[in-house]
Amino acid sequence: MEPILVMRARRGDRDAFADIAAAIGDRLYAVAHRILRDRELAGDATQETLVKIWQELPTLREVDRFDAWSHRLLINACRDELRRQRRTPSTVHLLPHDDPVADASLTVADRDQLERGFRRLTADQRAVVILQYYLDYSLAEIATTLDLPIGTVRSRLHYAKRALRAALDADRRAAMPRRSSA
Amino acid sequence: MSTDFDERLRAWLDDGDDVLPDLYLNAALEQVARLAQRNTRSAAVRRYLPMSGLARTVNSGARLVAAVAAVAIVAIAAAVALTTAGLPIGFLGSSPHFMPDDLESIVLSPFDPPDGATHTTTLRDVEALVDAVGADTATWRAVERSGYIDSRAEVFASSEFSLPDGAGRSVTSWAAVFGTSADASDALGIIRAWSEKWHPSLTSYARWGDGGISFEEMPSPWAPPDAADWGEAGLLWRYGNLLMYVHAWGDYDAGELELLAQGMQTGADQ
Repeated sequence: MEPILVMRARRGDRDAFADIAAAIGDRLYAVAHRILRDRELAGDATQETLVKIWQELPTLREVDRFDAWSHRLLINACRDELRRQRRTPSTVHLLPHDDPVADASLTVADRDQLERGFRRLTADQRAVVILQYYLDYSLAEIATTLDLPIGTVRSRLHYAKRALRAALDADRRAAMPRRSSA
Repeated sequence: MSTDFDERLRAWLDDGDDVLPDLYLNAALEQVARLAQRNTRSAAVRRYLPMSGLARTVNSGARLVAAVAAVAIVAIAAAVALTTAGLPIGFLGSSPHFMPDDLESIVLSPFDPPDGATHTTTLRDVEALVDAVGADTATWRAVERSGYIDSRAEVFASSEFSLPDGAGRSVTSWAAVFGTSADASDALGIIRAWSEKWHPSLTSYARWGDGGISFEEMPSPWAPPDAADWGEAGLLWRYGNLLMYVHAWGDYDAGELELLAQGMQTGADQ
């Protein structure tokens, strides 16, 4: 993000903020969608985050930390959305398997198991997975973004990957007897 | 090293929506048009002067008298407690002053790693500070405001005890220089408050220097389920205008941690 835009918006320039929102909206939404696995929830979290960014911008001391800071606000918003979702009747919308852009190297079963495994993760575990595997953040960058000790980030990643691996392995174990009996 | 699992996870995450529907962007901008930004000046004042409703009703003169009395009582109590605690002679009067150049000889040497571990990285200044407290957070900013000058961290890991996915045994030796002893004392208080969030077992630590904190969790709440004997422990203490910290995670030995801390203290004394 252009530092000059951030500085202008920090001083209350709404036009500058509109440019920022247009520039980062898609990226924030993409991250929120991957954490929340739901378009409406992701849209709500992104909208809430953009408003929060505007309100809190004067408290951001170093403009070159804008990206990490905005991601932290987004992840907080996603956490709130998941919390609200848990208090309401479950409406699980699995993402479609016939997505034309889906990677061909992933089987339908892989995607299904990853989806189910991911949904079992906590919001905090989901966040570290997305930051590392979708945004390619280093452990230090994740720690910075989430305000966590690096050891905690490492540990959360370990748990999350372990759960996702277990989901994939469970699928394989379930599939093997079927193959052998065929 | 990228694995098949990593590749599949990345491929799976690449699926998904990437475009924010206009509906949400427009709604956000409409809200922004009506909302004022946070007033940073009043926010800063609130941060520094957290007052209850009752305190606001007390006039400033009374608050000043109360504050002076409280400081005097705490100082007397602390002096009595320290005198009877058998701390090193000269403790109350000594206040060594360190410079950033001293940091290298205080943290553990990369060439002299703890038993079974190898040196993995050296961190300086902000990077090192981030290893102790999260960056660009209220805590991080507060530590910097408290007169922080420079820090250094040496990180060691042991492949012998490592689990897959990088979750392994590690030791961090960290030291930070502040402008004055009072600055370092303030920073210790800030980090202590932050650490209480993560380490409920936090206790006072006063083996060396001017007091500090310690914690030990066995097993660590962050330990992998198949490593029940894994724990986490840390010692943070102030010595003049210096904070020293040693932290271990994994299959560590508490006695070894004390020895490492002793090594750092010796480095500071030389």
